[in-house]
Amino acid sequence: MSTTLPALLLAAATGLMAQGLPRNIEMSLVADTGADTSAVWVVNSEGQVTRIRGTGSATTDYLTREPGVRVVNPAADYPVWKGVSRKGRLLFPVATTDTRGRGLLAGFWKHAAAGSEQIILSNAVAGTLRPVPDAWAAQGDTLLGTADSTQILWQLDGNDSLRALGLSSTGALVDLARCGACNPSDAVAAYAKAHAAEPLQYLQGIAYDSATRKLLLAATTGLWIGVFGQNLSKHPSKVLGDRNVLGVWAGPGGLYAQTDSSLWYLTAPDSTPRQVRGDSALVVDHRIGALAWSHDTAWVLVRTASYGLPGIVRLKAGNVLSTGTGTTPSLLDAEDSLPFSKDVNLSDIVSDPAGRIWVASRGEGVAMTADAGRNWTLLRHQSSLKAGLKEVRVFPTRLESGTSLIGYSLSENGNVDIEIFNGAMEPVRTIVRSAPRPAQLRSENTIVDRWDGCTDGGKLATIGLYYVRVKSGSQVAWGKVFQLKGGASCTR
Amino acid sequence: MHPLNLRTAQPLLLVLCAAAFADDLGGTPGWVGRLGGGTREFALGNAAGALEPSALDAWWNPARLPLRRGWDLSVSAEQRPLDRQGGALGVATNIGSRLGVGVTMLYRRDAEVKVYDADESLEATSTPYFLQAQVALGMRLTRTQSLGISFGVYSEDLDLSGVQSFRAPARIDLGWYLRGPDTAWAAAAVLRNIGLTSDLIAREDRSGVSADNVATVNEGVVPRTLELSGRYRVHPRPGQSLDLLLTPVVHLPASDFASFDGMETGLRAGLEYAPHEIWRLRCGYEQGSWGLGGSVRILPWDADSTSGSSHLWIDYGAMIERETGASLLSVGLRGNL
Repeated sequence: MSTTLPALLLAAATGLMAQGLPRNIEMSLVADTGADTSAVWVVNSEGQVTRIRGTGSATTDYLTREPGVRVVNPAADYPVWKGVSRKGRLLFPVATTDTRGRGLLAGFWKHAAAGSEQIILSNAVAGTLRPVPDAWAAQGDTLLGTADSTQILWQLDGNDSLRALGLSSTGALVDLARCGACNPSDAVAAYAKAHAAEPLQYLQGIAYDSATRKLLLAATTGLWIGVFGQNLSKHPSKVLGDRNVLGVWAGPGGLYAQTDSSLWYLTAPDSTPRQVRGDSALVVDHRIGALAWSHDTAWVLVRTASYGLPGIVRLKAGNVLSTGTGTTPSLLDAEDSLPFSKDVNLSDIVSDPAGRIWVASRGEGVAMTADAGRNWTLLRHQSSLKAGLKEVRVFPTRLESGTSLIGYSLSENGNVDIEIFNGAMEPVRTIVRSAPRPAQLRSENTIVDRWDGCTDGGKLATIGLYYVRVKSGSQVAWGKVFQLKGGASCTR
Repeated sequence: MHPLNLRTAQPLLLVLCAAAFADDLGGTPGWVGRLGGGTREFALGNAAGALEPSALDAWWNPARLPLRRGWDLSVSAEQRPLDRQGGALGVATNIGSRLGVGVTMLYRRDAEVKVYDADESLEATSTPYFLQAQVALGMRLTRTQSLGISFGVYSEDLDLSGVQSFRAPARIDLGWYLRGPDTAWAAAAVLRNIGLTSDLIAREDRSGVSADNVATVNEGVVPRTLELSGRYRVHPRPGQSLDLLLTPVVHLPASDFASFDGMETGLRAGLEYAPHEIWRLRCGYEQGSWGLGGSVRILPWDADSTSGSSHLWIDYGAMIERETGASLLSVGLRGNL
């Protein structure tokens, strides 16, 4: 009884902890601007909004409760909208679809304090969700756009009023909303689709430099710079020639633009573009997903970096960004330097005001570093398991790429043996042998035991069902996993 | 009985059976073949398959097919730990005095596998199954010797959305059987998994689906397997018999005909005791797992009936599986018409 009660309490605490963390699906990050400067908001594609402190503890957990309203872009591969935090308040766009499946901006979800969540600029404004204008619908345009062109740019305009610009599915710039004090009486502003102005069509990204109040528009015909608040369709200037600009990003360290073969850095005040040194190995054919700044370092999240791995490229301002001598930008790839599997999909990166860097992945949780990438803490949602090694859960059970995690719960610290068997109980792979594991493994959210589908002989196991045995002392539990990875060889 | 034989064999069994495979030999088709089928074979550690007459001869040794009269039938089912289930069905008969034909089906499935997504949420439940069919022909060469050939195909369905079922081209097994003139001893050899390719390798390319919904191919080889079996029979008392059965197994997971790298070995051993005309007791050992079982003849119940007449047996078996440490159960019905 003396050991059972603490184990039960630990299991209960583990369960509560697990529920406080965001589910490990598509996520975006927003640095918290409230009193706690080492926290981020995590928004996942289920509408779950979680605030995580730098210590790893999740203190709040909200879900948008509006029926039919989602935080995802129905048409996008990168479905979670980016939110914005201002003075402790969090806002992010929420979406729905019309009867024809077109994406509609439903409004903005606002959180100021626990229990104060509300949807603004939607039903409260007009009684119905704002439809796509008929003129647009006739052209097959949708407000929320397609995978690559969909962006919403948030910016505070003047006296703490919120302004959002977006791109339609054909790349046109749209003034989505003005929200003074986020009062529902502030209606969605006029749309400013500029079909007549060639440069502003087929936009691929937007960014805003708060220092210069310049708005950058990445287009297939070049990089266009205008001044926020003016008539952008008439007075933009063009830089980078006729290059196809894939995206543009702004931050305290400057502005970045990506073209087909280069990464460019634009410095104030003249916004002269300079080519980032050593970029060819980093950005050619690899789309940048997001950027974050910490002190003098830009953290560039790339979907697939050099060597074909997703990862993060660190760029030191004044070093590799100068046109003179510099060193090769350092790469943190997902497998060796980040606490993720090598095939992970990285979703978002953000820095908090305390200088921590947070990286969201698809399916593998959120990683945080407070020491410029030397050490990472992995935070992920964990479902509660029966305590005392009574259950093994291998997830994803469909091992289609990367690795599958082997989740189990020990009632006390101990050494574990983990082996993989086929259906005839013939050993296929030894994962660990007498490896020390803590009882609170799951509550620490640091599951380290994985299977990559390989056998002890270094080959990829044949597609099929396999059995995972976890032994700790006299306790034994089993799980099952489908190996579905293709190929014959295995690189470990 | 020769107690010395058992004492000598035991250390050898322990050493050889401790061998563990370093690789996944042939995936599901490979391990289903190694498990085999039949309650009687199950209890004997699969040591008797190639040697003893059975309706499952199309699988175990097609060379035994002509050595029968009438129709042999067999059906069995087994339940293993971790919700693994299996069964076997076999029919065999002779054609004249020199030929025999048979059909065997082996079935395996897993009940209600819980499928979790990357977020540990329950996504679905799956009941994957595997079905192997074997059609065989055997021919008697002499009074004591015969040969056989069987063709096998299989179908496997993982019961997962987006993952197709797998079907393999036919593979060939070759069998040979020899018995001593006084029936005290018998020997057999079965060479399995000969591919219908130019290099006789049973290749298996399985299509999978990546996380990005892109089809991938998983290349494998079902290893050629050589099973050499021997049986020695003694008669402790008149009307009783004791069979000692040994089957060394060699797996060759080679990707070309002449390659012998990665060879794996195993050993099956069994003991069958016939204390009475209508009773059988048996035990077996394979890869560290122990089997135990028996049979009772229910038709004809009369113990004085000759063994050559029609008969029907109920088989039962249990096994302590090394890795799961749990007992398995198998029941079966077999007979001759």
